[in-house]
Amino acid sequence: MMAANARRYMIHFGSAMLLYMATLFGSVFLLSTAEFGPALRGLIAILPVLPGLGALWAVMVFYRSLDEFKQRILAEAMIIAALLTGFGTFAYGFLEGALDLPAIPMIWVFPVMIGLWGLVGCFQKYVVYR
Amino acid sequence: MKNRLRVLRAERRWSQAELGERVGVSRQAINAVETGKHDPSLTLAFALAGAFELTIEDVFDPNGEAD
Repeated sequence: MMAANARRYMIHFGSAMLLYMATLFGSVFLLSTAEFGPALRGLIAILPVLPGLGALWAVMVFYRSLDEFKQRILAEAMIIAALLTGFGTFAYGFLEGALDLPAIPMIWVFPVMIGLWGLVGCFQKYVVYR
Repeated sequence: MKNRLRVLRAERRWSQAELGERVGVSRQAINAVETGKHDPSLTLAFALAGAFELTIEDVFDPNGEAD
């Protein structure tokens, strides 16, 4: 059976994601079908970020519900993921200039960091601290 | 840090999960402390010693390396 804290996390995170998807579709639909001034256009474009903040809050609530060892694994994994993402994008910047590589949109930085967080977290859990 | 958790647990026939439940942490946390992969916080060290009705010094040896 799923632990109470994990169940609570699934509900918080799931609700935030559903709201995120709804606002994302709404935002994309509005921006592609109607004309707005730059201020309103920016506001509509950034709208999906608000429920996204709810998801970040859900992660923090879940993190604080964990015991010290699990917190340590997650925190170490996040530090490594942040360093790898930062260093990776930094290094790509050098190559981008030198080799005329395509610019990668900023929107990919966060998903890459979160993806790495998951991968590094699994490595910490199942290999390093096994 | 060396500790006697495994021996103390065996004497009482407690599983790692059972000890974890008594002190409010996961089985994985108990395993990590036992194997020396995680040095417990002061709060957890007191809780662990308390679960065995011993002092911290009876359970942990700060000068020894983990097995």
